[in-house]
Amino acid sequence: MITDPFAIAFSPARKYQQAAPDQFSIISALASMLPACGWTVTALYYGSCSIDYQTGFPAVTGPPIDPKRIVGCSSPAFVTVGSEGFTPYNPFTEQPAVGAPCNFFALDVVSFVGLQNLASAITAATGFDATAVSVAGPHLRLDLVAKLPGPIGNAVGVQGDGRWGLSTNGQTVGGGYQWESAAGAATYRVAATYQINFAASLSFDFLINGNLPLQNYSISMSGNNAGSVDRYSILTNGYGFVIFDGPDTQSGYPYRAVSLMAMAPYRPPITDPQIPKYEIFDTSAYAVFICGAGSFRSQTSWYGPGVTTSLDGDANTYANKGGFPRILAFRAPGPPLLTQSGVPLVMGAYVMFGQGPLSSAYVIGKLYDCAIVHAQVTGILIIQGQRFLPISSQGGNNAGTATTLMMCIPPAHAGSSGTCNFLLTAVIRLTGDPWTADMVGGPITIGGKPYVVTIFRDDENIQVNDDTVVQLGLPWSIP
Amino acid sequence: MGLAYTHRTIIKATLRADASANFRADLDSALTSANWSIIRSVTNGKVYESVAAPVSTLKLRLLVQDSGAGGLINFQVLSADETVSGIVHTILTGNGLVPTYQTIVGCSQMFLSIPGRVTTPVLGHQSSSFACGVPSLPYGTAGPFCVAEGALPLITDCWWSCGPGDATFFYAPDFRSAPRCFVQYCFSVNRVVTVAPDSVDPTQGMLGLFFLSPTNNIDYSIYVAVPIITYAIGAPLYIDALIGWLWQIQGQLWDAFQQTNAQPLDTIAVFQDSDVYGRTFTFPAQVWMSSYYSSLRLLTQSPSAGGEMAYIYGGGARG
Repeated sequence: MITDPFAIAFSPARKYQQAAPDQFSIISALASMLPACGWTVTALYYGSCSIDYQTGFPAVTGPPIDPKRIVGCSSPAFVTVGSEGFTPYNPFTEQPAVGAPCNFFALDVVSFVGLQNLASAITAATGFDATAVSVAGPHLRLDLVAKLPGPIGNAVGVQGDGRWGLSTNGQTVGGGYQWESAAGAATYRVAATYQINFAASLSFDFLINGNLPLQNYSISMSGNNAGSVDRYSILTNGYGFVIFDGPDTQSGYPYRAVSLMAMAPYRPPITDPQIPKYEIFDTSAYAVFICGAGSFRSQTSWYGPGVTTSLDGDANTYANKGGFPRILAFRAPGPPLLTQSGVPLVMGAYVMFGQGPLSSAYVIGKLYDCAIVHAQVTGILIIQGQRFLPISSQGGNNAGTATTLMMCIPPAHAGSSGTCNFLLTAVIRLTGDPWTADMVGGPITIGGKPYVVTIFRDDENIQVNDDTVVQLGLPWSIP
Repeated sequence: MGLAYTHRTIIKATLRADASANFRADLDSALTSANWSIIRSVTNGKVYESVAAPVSTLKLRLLVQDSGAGGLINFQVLSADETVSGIVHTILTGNGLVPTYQTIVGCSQMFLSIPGRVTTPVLGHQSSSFACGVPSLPYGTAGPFCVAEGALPLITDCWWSCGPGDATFFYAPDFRSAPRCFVQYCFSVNRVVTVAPDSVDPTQGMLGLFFLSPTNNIDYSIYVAVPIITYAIGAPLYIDALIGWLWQIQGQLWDAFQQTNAQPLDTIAVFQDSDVYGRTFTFPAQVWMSSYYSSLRLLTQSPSAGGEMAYIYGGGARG
């Protein structure tokens, strides 16, 4: 083979799911998807919050007086953590009411001890470990840190009484993870943690080649400045991820922060049988790029804002020049480029970029699991028996080449299984998850033999690419 | 895909340009050595017919005739049944400034140009190169990396031709200078001939070789072009010489491939390929066209081994 067959470079594992546009859902989705594709968790972040007692914490004095007065829950609570309220009492003169719907803690003649008692009560009753901290003089602080890492410890309301103590954020923040991409391409790290900000955006903190990109990356959760944010589509493999919801621009919302792509390209070695012997790639190059909101969805050549590359050097952010990332296609300005058979040409997605805004750009390799289709495509395409989802596209107007970058996603209902009757043109599901229309074109294994779903009739009746089999009670599974 | 080898005779020859008769005699020798047949003689010229490549039945006919106007030789492609014809291209001889031309003739295509030059040294003339051929069609040999969708149309006639024309000061790029042809080209599918519009707009779907480029508008006047070479190594990619028009791939050149950067014009290097059986073979290939995004290499000899049939396709997949 002397010429390039433009084979798609498939990675070992891919995941796809949709998630609600909230930080918890996105972080949770990434937490399940990335490690399943080969990423490793390199840092655990715990949701946290503090209550500041700048002028001190209340104290009580003796002597004990009996019988003690029965006290109930204060309203508002002295401290609230989520749904749990905490009420102080004077152990010399008061006794908590049995069965009161709150948590009590004893004040003390020493303020710090009373705060420690509060910390213990919170630790016992909530998902947070609380610690009393002496700052300076009467200034004390109560620190809450989630017992579990990740997004579960986020957005829990934490309130002081407003007189003695003030919550720093009003809720817990900062819970999340940092992950490192899989070996097999340049490795980089990304962290997603819950933050409070005006647009309720989810921030992504990258660590590329050991340094931070100049660009901060976030996607909008609330729809603020982003129009309607429905559900985010998340695609991952071991070397990158893509998150998006609709186009970068909508009527009235020209700058939607709803997309993010980060990818370390596949650098083909000379042993790759799908690479001609004369094509030589630098397999040791450190190469990663990121395309942020506003730069990604409506182009396959990413020179807009929010683009970062790192090529054997520090991460650089781009303007409209230099070594910005770009996908290669056969030049065909205007209408889609068709094959002799009248269908758009499809091939593996070579990417080129450079070190920075003053550099040239070079062919780095291919984007894992990606294909470039020489037409604007919407919806899932079946390519080589695999489902591919459009992640960015452009028309041929303005003399560009009409192209869609598509990324492979797992088969519909991957991993599901059951039993069925194989009756010539109809395969009838007996047990297992209901079948869906998006299985068409995808694989299914029946009785140990691989088939392709050709027709979906209903959730228990499909047809596959063999209409000669009659067998009952066969196991089916989707790889 | 992979290279479309004809495994038929390929002739690389030098053509004397001192006189029309010598030029035509040398070209006649080259064409007939490549097994083109002479259909008939015409006044100061002949009509030739190409040889169908293996796994193909398609041919073209080529009229080569002295125009009678100052050493201009006319080249015009005709369909094999001569029911339709393309535009007339010209080559200038007998002017003293161009001592020789060179040609590479295969069974289904021919290329002609001035050695070492892209354009003519003759002031006020452009007739310096010509090419024509029947492309290699897929013939249903779809491989594992293709999107095997759609239906191949029935093709009974398919050919193309290009040359820079004989305008005084306007040079129309052709396959000697660029992967895309401007103005002076034509093509035929099933005897429907399309002649180039009088336009230089790349969005017109012109005759061309499909070359790799970024997807944005590389034809924009202030676009900063970059060569398609690998990082740190500087190696080009090797791609098929896909040929087409009207935004559709029609086939590929026989015995040819592209590299994705500019290679030294007319240099010849030996390449090694292997067939589907793992047998390796070598062949020389000349840089016929050298441009920023594409260098077209034409085989100057058929491969050294690898079987007699054409559809070895280098062991690569067709798509």
